[in-house]
Amino acid sequence: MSTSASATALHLIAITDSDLVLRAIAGREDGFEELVRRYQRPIAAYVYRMVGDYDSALDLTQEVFIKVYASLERYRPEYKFSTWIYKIAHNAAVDHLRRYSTREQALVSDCEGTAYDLPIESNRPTPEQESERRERRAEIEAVVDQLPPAYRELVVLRHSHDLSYDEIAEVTALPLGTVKNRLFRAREVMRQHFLQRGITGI
Amino acid sequence: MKGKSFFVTSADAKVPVCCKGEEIAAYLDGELVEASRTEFEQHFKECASCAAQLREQKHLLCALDFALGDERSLPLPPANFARIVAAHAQSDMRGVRASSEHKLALWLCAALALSSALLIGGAGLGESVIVPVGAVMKPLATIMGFFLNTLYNAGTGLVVISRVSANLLFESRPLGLVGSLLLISALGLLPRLIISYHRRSSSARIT
Repeated sequence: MSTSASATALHLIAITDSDLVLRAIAGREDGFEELVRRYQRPIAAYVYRMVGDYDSALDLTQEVFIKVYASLERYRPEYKFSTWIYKIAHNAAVDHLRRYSTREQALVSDCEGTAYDLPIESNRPTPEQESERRERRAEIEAVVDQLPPAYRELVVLRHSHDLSYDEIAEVTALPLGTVKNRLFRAREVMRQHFLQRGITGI
Repeated sequence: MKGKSFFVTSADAKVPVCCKGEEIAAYLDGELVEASRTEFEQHFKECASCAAQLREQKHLLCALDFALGDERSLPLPPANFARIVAAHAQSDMRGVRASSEHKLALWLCAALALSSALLIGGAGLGESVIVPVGAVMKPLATIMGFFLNTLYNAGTGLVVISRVSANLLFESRPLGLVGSLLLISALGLLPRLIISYHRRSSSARIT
């Protein structure tokens, strides 16, 4: 059973997203399942970064895929499928935040200025360096989490999902200039924050 | 602050910023066309302020890529998530995609309802239709009976009151006269009181 399932999955790997959509529309169940398999991690990660809660992120991810399935026929293959699905995920996350906005959003500037000095270059990470890296990653993630959602989303789409400015504009329905400006401002806010907390090497 | 030495902000450098920060960011994000990129690169060689800004932004971008680019730190969806989600989506009624499918479903439901009604009618009107209708009518009849009973009681009450007042009026004259005068004046005053009360309450609502 599992062998045949993995064989099906293997033969679907080479198929493009658009062809999988066509397959799903034609009623082939494996087409949609493969699409879910391809995008479940990035969509769950994106939604998780937006809402900050694992259970809600999984529920929202499921909701996103149900919406995707319900509107598959409206998908136009001249657009990238990934942009389209991120757009649906964006709407779901924004709706969720609007309804249950409990996250602390403002970057707090009055943090205790504990000085960190973490080196950026390290070719062969020792266990100590490895734990330093983890610590630094957590530190940066915490700062991203504290950004207002409108800023955080752009930073996440750019750095976690590698979307271009055009794609981000498409997903968030913002003008290109706003994306460019907000992304820059978000990074500036973070840089100032790191400065105030004395975190160097960033 | 110890970390401050690593940053050369435009305020620290006290040099007019010729390149806008967001343009430098766009350059680093690979969002500039070839010609602008070459122009920028030439400019960075000549302008210390922009080169410093470029360095600062680059460090931050690397840090963000490093922290956010690795999704291994995030919790994973469960192993069979794709299968479950696909099954949910396919069984969800909202997943009926085309509006023609919605219409077809409605037509089918209507046809089924009609055919079942016809079948019920054919298979013994008495047992299948009249019995349920009777079951509905029974409580309705009880309610109607209760209503009529109340009306009857009110009527008899009125009759008793009028008989008592007539007795008072005709048997013991002075007391009856006073009593009936009081009753008549009270009946006359009652509508006025009601009207003035309603006026007051409506004007209070307006203000």
